[in-house]
Amino acid sequence: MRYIFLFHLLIGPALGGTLSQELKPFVETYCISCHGEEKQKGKLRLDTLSTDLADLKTAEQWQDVLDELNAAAMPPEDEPQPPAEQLTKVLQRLSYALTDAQKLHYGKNRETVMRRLNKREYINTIYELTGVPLKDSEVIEDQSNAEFDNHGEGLYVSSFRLGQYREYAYRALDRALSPKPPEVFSYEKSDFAEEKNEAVRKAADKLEAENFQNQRHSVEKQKERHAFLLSYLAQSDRDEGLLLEDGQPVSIKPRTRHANLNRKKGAFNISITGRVKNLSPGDTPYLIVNERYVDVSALINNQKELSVDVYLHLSYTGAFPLTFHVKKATQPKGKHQRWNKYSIKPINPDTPRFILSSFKIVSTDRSQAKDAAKKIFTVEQGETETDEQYIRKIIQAFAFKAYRGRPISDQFLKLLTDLYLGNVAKGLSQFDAIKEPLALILSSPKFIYLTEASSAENRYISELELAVRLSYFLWSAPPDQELYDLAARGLLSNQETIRAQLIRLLEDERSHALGQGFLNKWLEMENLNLIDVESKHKGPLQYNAQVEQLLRQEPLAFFRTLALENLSIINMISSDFVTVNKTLAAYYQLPATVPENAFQKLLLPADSPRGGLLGMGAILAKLGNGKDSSPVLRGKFVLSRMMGMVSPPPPPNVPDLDIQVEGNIRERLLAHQAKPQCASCHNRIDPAGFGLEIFDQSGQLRPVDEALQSMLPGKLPALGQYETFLEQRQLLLKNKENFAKAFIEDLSSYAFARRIGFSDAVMIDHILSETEDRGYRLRDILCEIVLSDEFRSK
Amino acid sequence: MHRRHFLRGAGAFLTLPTLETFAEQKSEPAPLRLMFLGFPWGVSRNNWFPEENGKDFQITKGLQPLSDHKDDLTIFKNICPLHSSHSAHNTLGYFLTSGDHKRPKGGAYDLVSCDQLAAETLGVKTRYSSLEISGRGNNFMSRDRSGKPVPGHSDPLALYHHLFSDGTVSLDERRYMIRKERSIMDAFRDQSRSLENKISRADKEKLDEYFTSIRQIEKDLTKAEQWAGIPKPEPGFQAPGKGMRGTAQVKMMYDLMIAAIQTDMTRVVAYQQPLDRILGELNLGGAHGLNHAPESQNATTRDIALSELLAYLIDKLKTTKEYDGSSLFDNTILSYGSGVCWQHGIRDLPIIVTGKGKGRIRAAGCVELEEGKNRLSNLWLTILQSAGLELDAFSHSNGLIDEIRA
Repeated sequence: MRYIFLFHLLIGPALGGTLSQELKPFVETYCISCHGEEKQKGKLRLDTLSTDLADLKTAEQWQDVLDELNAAAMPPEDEPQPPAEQLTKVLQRLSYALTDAQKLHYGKNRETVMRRLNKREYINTIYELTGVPLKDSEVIEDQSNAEFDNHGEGLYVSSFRLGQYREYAYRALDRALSPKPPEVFSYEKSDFAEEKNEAVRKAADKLEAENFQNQRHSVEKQKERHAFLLSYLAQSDRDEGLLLEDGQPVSIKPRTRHANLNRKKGAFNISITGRVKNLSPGDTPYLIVNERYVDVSALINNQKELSVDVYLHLSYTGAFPLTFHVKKATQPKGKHQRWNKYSIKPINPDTPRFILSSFKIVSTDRSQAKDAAKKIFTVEQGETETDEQYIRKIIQAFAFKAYRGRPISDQFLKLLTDLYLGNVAKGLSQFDAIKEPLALILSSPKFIYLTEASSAENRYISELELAVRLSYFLWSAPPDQELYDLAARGLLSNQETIRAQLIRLLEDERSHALGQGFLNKWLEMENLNLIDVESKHKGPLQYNAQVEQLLRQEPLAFFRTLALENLSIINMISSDFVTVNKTLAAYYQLPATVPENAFQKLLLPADSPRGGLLGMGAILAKLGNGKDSSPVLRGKFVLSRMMGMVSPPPPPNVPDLDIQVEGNIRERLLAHQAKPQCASCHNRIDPAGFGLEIFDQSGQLRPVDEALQSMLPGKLPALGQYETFLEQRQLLLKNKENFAKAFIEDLSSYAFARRIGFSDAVMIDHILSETEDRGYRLRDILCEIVLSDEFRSK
Repeated sequence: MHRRHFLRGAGAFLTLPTLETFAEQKSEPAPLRLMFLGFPWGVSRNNWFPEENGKDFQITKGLQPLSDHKDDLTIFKNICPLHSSHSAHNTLGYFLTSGDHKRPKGGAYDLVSCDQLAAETLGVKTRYSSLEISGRGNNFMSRDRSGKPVPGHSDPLALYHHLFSDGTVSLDERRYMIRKERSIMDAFRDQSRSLENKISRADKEKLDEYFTSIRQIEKDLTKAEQWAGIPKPEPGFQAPGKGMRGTAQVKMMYDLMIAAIQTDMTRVVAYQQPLDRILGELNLGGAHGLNHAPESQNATTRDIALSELLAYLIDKLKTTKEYDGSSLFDNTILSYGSGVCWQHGIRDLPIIVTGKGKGRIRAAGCVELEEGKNRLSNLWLTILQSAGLELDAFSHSNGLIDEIRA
């Protein structure tokens, strides 16, 4: 129970005494005259109100008191007012105690409730069953306010939603059973040289043919332009590809038959074959693909194919803009000449050149399975089988998968088979006739709901149910055949089997869902969608849409590394490595020894502030408003995520701060604390965030100067003062047990798809002690969670 | 025509000019309509609420675009949702319920939103009992009797088809489909019953939610049956283009709302308005940031942009004629407001009421409510009563707002 002790150690000193001791003098002095023995204004009596917040009614009444105090509505203006310091203390004590008490009440019902599939699970499940990836944007939102998106309490069903499910099912089946092959989103071009040379030659010929007598331009201009065109053709490499000058953009437009790329949004792989020449030593060449700066140093004097994974939203015309850009090591004297759209001066063949030979783009999003129809018609019709027998078999098999290993009732099977036969009688083809029965399966309750049979005698779930829990926890998708087989053979209760399956499931690509479902929500990454992050850097690697896409992937890649390599979760506080790709390494100004198209571990220099979640650009950026960093949001993140402390939500009706303060953010925040209603939480939150001011709003390191250094000193509750960010991070490491405990609680909450409360303390404590010796490794923790009694019981 | 659209389509092929068709069908005078508009993140501190009270107030900068309609407005001051427990960040979630979201008392009047309650009465005679619209995805404003959010339409094109597109299925076929759908619902109910036998009590509550949804679908089917032979009206304008966003999207939603009530497809509309893209168009930065900078120029610019949109809607209500010669404005009660004032303040909500509501309400200019009688639920009660609902109370109301009662 060590962590519980530490927990109190944390809160204790700041608050002193028991709740009742703390509140009593305040209540007696400022409240009793109206809410005591003699008067009970508003039917509220405080002198006899207990402070046992384990009692729901009592807790609610104190919540009312807190709301009034926060709104500065009590004591009334004409009554004596408490001194700020005392009010601050009382507010703080009450806010935290009540937030804590909530947990007590959540925990009372430890049962994982039946729930519908959430949006992510629904899309994945439809994909596994039909081979059709529904787009995120075409499926209705969950509308959940719950802690995680798989908590039953937030997953409602309505008639509207049920109607939508039927519609999506038809949509998926239409695509799966379409006679047309699924569209392939790719485009390739390799005739740049021919095309360009021909166009230039033609233009030059035309000028000659007209004898420079075109009325619209002067003869001189036409001659100048002619010379310019010839100078392009005079370049020695003109047959190798399209020759681009520094700063010159090119727009590659697919022909109309590739119109399926128009406006397409998603992940693509781009391959470019090319060569860079005429660079001065130290220059870095880039190709800018839709804001993404791709370092093409590998192509210097060396023709090669280069491939980049990139997230794009293609334009209406489906055109891909590319620009060649050289970052000069030394700025040449005089004004640097970049490519100028209007210049018709003869081309200087000795300036930097990118020779583009071929270009290819392929969509890498999850695409429709090639044999989607085979997922439905899993077997061929037997020779002796009647149509009715065959279709009955097909429907039965599909329902068995859709119902996650549970059979369809005879009655429902008959209804569906009859529907099919009726459709055929109306003249529909086999493929069209089967859509209706299958769509009904995909909108029936047994498919929509994840249910577990339970009885009073047996709390334990069946092997089959365990397989389903396991796969929806790690994959947000249904079990695969191997899991079903193990469950059918009764082998999943075996600890070693579970361990092996956990590793197998984590190594599967589908386990990316764990990061998307758990980590992104835990980090509240969706906040990044609400802001536009400004970049104050000059260098080629600015914070832009492309960099943001990569930054968002970083925490997920880091988390996956911890899981796959079974590393300690304490790495989230501080690690000696980052998990980045080449562009991010450059963004963080680290030596780029990692590839562009994969996130890999990169060891950090000893004094680097980057290791751990607090050094990640996406997290730093989302803890701000895009324009400025926010020590408040960062402080709250440090307390709630890095220290595992509860954090009361911002209360409504806190009176506005009237004083306008000049000065930097630190000074303004400190002034903010003049109001007790603010100070009660902000005197902890803000000083926990000051250290992170070494990073700007886009996650870049700020230049170190005196002004910055004076911003950094801060304080962490019960851990002490710090002067720099690195000291702050060291302090946080001292608190790793509490961090681990809170993290395990949150991960369990996701695993069990319900809130974790005080009644789960024994289980959490067990996992904590089981994983402590090996330093709280992530896969060990996941393993303990799935091996726990709780994971196997209703 | 897809088989799954049949519930939405109406069946016949007739397309007659709207107004005449309806005039023939209707011998009664034009009905009363309710519109509830909510916008997130509040208003600017200095440029929204007028100084003076009464009819003779000076219009503020943030409300400037509404100058022409000044005499038709009631602008409330000091109206509040009673409970301090309202979340300052989910500002529209409890706007139309005025309930206490931290500890709902249970029972309809603490959970249901006033638009949904109104729909139960005003929606009996229309094809759709109510219409819910939201910016994108998450709609929290409208809540059913168990307090669950009612999802809203968020795509103008889809909404257009929902309201005005008829299928090409024959009437007999449509009736057959409705019958079939009923048997499917029976089968689903049976299937859930088989689950019910095995599950725990907590699960039963979840399953109840499912049964309620099934019942709702059956009610919709009954309505679909009643309306199966009646063609949908013509809206009088083309289907909107795909992917409309920002200001254009809000305006199109307004147009669709107007068309829906004018053709009497529904009499109750709730619209949870989006904001982010409108701010984006004007380069005003994030909505949350603006809420915390209520004195900034940008906050005022935002208010002006929203007021312009509202003025557009009021203009349209005034110029759209009913079959009996009155205007939609004459027959509508429109409420427009936010669940937060600025920053975390929810004491002094910015709310405007307009429309003549068939003479049952009146514009009172700027109305500063008295302490103790300033509950938001009183406003909803006043509007619901004016619309003819026989209700003594709504949520924790403690009276009516006499200033706006005619």
